[in-house]
Formats: sequence, C-alpha cells, structure tokens
Amino acid sequence: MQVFKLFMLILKKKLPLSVTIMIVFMLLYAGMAFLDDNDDKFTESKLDIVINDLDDTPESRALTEFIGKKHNIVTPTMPLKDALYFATVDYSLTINKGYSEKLTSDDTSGMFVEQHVYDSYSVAYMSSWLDEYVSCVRACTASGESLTDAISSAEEAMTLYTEVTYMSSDAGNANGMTSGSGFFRYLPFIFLSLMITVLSSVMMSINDKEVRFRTNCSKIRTTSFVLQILAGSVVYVLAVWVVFMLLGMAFSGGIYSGTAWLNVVNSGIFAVISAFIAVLISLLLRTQASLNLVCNTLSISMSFLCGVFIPQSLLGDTVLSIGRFFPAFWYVKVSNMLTGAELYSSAKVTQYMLIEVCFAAAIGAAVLLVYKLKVRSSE
Amino acid sequence: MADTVVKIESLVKRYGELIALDHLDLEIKQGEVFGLLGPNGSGKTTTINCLLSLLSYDKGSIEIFGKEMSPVAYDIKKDIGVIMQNVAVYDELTVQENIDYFCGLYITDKQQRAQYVEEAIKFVGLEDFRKFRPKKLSGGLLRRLNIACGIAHKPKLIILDEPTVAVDPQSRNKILEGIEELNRSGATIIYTSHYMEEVEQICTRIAIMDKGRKIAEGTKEELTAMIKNTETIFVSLHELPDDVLKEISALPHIYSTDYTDGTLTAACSGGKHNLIRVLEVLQEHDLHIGRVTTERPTLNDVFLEITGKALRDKEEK
Repeated sequence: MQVFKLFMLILKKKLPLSVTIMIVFMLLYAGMAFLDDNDDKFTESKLDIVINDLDDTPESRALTEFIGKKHNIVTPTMPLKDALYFATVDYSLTINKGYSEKLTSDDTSGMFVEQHVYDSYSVAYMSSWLDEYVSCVRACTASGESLTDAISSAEEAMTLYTEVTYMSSDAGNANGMTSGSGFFRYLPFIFLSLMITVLSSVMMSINDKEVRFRTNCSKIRTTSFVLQILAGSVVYVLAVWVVFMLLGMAFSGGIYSGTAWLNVVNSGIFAVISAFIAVLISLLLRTQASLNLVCNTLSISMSFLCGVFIPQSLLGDTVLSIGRFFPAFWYVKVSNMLTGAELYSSAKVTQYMLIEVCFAAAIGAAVLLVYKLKVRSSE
Repeated sequence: MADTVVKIESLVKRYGELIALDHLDLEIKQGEVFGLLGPNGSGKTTTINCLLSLLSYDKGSIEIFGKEMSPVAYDIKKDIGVIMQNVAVYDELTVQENIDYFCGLYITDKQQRAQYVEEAIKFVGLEDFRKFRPKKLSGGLLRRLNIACGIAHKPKLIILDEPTVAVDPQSRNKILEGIEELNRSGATIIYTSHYMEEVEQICTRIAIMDKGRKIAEGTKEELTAMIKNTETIFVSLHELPDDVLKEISALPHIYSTDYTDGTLTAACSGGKHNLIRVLEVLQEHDLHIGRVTTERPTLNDVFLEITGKALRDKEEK
C-alpha cells in the first residue's frame, strides 16, 4: 500500500487548502442562508405621509386619524415636490373638498389626489388601501349603518390581522426538509472546486513524468499502482461527500427523510462526476501553475450556465440551451424538483439522474482514452 | 570469468525516420563500472530507457541477470536501482519521506526499510536535511537525494544517467566517490555521461556512442591504444622560426606539429624519448624555452579521431 500511503501523504499536505475552500464556502452559504431567512419574516413598514385635508369634515379627519395609526403623518420642511424627490416624504395625499359627501353618493371619483415620486410596494399598497377603505365605508352605509358607524366598522374590519406563512420555493415541503435545502444547489460549485484544486493537484504530483519513470522502474505492478491511486481518490471523494452530507443535515436540522435522500444520491453522483473531471484535467494539464485558473474558469462558468448561483427560471433560453451540455444543469434540475422549485416527478428525477450517470461514464471513458494516449506517446 | 549482468544484442530503436539506436550490442559483467560515453543525442538515454523497458524498441534483445527484460519483469526490476538525469522526487514530501517511499516500492518489511533509509541518508550525507522539502535543498543536495532514492533498496545493478549535470564540484566529487563505494560493496554500475573526465575517473570499461551506434569499447587504456596519438607535447616559446618547426616535424614518431599563441604542439605516435628530441632541437637553435608539458591521449582524442568531432560542444566545456 505504498502508493496509497503516498497519496494520503500528498493529500495531507494539500488538506489546509481543502479546508480553506470548505470554510469559505460555508461562510458564504451561511451568509446567503441568513439573507434567505430574512425573506421569510414580514415587518410592517410605515410611510412618511403628508396629508392635505381640504374637506375638513369629521369624516375626513377620521380618515386622517386612521391613516396616522398606520403611518407617520409628517409636515414637510421643504417644498412638497422637493420633499418627495429627496424622499424625506414618501407619499402625499390630498383629501378633496366634498369627500364626506361622496362617501355616501354613487360618484367616488376625485375624492383624493395622490402624489409620489418613487414606486414601491408600500406606495402601491397605500393606494389600494385607500380604495379598500372607501369601499368598506360604502358597503357599511349601504347595509344601513350611519356614516359614523360605517367609518368605525370599516376601521375595525381593516385592522383585522391575517396570519401569513411564507412558503419559500426553496423550502421543499415535498421532501420533508424545512430549511437549508438550497445548500444542495450550491454543491456542484464546491465539489468541482475541491476536486480540481486538490484531487487534480495530487494526481499531477503522483503522475509527474520523471517520478513515474522511477516508479515504472520499480517492482510495483502497474495495476497495483493504478488501483492504489484509485483507492486514495475514492477515500478523498467519499470524505468530501460525507462531510457535505453531514453539513447538509446540520443546515436542514436533522436526518434526511423521504425524497430528501434523493438529494443525497444526486450529490453523490455529482461528486463522482467532479472527481472524473478532476482526473481528466490532471491528465491534460502540463503544470500545476495553471490549475487554479482552470478550476475557477470551469467551476464558476458551469455554475452560472447551469443555474447553481442563479435559479434556472431566471436564465435565458440560450444560456439554458448551453447549460444542457453540462452535468451540473441536470443536477440542478433534480435539486429543483426535490426542493419544490419545480414540479416533482419521480420519472423525471430518475431520467435526469441517469443523464448525470451518462455524463460520468462519458468523462470516465475520456479519462481512460487520454491516459492510454499519454502512455502511448511516452513510448 | 565474471557473470554477465546486462546483455544487449542488435538493439534498434526508431523515432519515425530517425534511428536512435542502430544495432547496438553491449555486454556488461558483474562488478563493473561501465561507462556509456557520448555527446548529447548519441543515444545514451534511449539505451537506458530501453534497458529499463520504459521505451519499447523495434528490434534486438535485452537480457538482465540472464533473463529477458520486459515491462512486467518484476523479478528483475527488484534488483535494479535507477538514478535519472532529471531529479525525480516528490516536492510535497521531505527528504526522509521521499527515500522511504521509493525504498518502500521494493522493501515491504518496515524495520528493514527504516534501516535501509537511514543508511541511504548517511551514504549521501543528508543527515542534517532529513526533514527538509526538496525545494529547500541546493542543486547538489537535490542530486544526492535523487541518488539516495535510487539506491536505498540496495540494488545489484545501478543505472545512473548523467547524475552530475549542473552539480557543483564538491557535490560532484561526493557523488563520484559514492558510486565507487557502491561498486566496492558489490553493485554493478552503468554510468552514462558526456563528461569524459568522470568516465575516465570511475569506469572500469567504457563504450563510446555516437548517432545511436557503439563506435568503440574497452578499458580507457584499450581505447586510447586504438588511436594513432600516444602523447602530445606542449612547449611555450617566445618565437619559433618556420625552419625549426619543419625540423621538429621531421623528427621520428612526430606526425603533427603546430605553433599557435606562443605554444608549440607536437603530436607523437609511438616511440620513446620524443620530448628529449624536441627539446634538443630547440636548444640547438638557442630558443628560450618556457613551460613544457606532455599529455596522454584522452577519451576526447579517441572520439575526435574516430568521429572527427569533439565529445562536447565548446560552450559545454
């Protein structure tokens, strides 16, 4: 097991690099997960509103008072247009004369004049809220209530709070994972980085032409040599995969259940693909100096083209067409289905996984071919 | 008669149209330090690579320890140590780890290996550098590590392919002394070089190669005896009239004379007292004689006479 020990010795020297990559990834992921978490929580936002009550009736004052309970009613320190432009005021509402009369009439046009410079959900919501308020009051008066009672009833109805549960596209209710399932989407990037940076580097060291000459002169059999390197590679790939599966469990808050196991299988297949890519690169590159460049180019470009960093739903048709030629594309497709971002279909999950296996087989065959060609050219 | 360790018969190796080895025959006996001498591109390294089955060949046969050599002849390989032209060690491992790894490819017993590794470290004088990584070593120390990795398993046949290229004189001497010591301890050595001084110093038998062919073979004395030149006389003189030069040229056993840059060069072929006769002529003409030296023919002279060119290019000297 001398070659296996050598593999492990060289791997040990490269381990700090491996750990650094893992830590950087985990920090980035933790940051992204934190941001994602914030998306799940709703906080009421308040607008700074200027109200100009031209009607000045008990009804218009009631509206002003009710708006004041939800937003900040402010007095601008500069001309209104400037205040809106510099965003010291979000919204200006003018309650036109005749507001109270129009509340009970059929004509509700021209009750308000609204002004705002910047569009936002809050501003749009404010306009909608005013319409809703008027509709509520009118509905109450239509049911026979006095205007004063109708205003009270409308206010009461509009203060009712509706509980909202946020269902993230990431949360994957189908597979029983409550959080952290987005973790799997980023694995192609980290697997490729770890395999190319570390595994390719170890392979290139071991297969250095001069040292291989010396090894070939020794009594070790070529089959034994190759098998021991294979064993070393399997140990490394397995270790990386297991570490990330454990981290995935930590992020999802427990042992995988249900179809979440398919995520584990999917990532296992991609780990093997990454390892094959790393071995192929080690055979094609002449020096280790260019390894980082190749690693970054391949892992980042594949990640962008295949929807690792940006969801596939946001990618253009051309990008998606190109992405299909990379295994990460199919990995992400499976991951999307398992996390609920796409409609789950067990047949499609199986089909996509088989496509990944085909990629693995094709790259594996390319590795064998390049290896044979290299051996032949050295003769 | 000593046993034959290596027997190469009619070996031919082609790279496309180029014939790298042209019907090469070699026989190396046990206990020899056999030198393969030749200029760059003469086929020394190709011979070694074929010998070790690192290269396939087109024709001929190679036997080591009486058995046919092949890429799967592991029972032969276990007794061979190789020190290649380029340093072949792992940059990621320390001196000790490197030697241990390469020794471990032959010796599986841990205790025996530890002992062999220790002996190899002492042999090449790297005791103080055992925890150093190769990149921290000087060129000479790196070559010594390269040698230690090749000999740690105590092989019966050691092949050294230009092990002293780009090495400082101190390390070179240490390496050459080491090779002689390995030979004294029973190992048969094959030593390739284009430095004729090294080959002359340590090799008991030499084959001179050029363009993939063996052009001469024998001991140093046998090789130098093959050529016309037996002695070259050098005399420093302020002046040398043409008639005196002609008189010297006419002396018996002197077949070539030249006067350049104040030095008379007279090449002799056989005969005795050639130097005395040259000096007598010079004294007869009252010429002031400066430094007088004589040189026995070198392997370079042998190569020069056989091929018409020097062993090394001028810039390599």
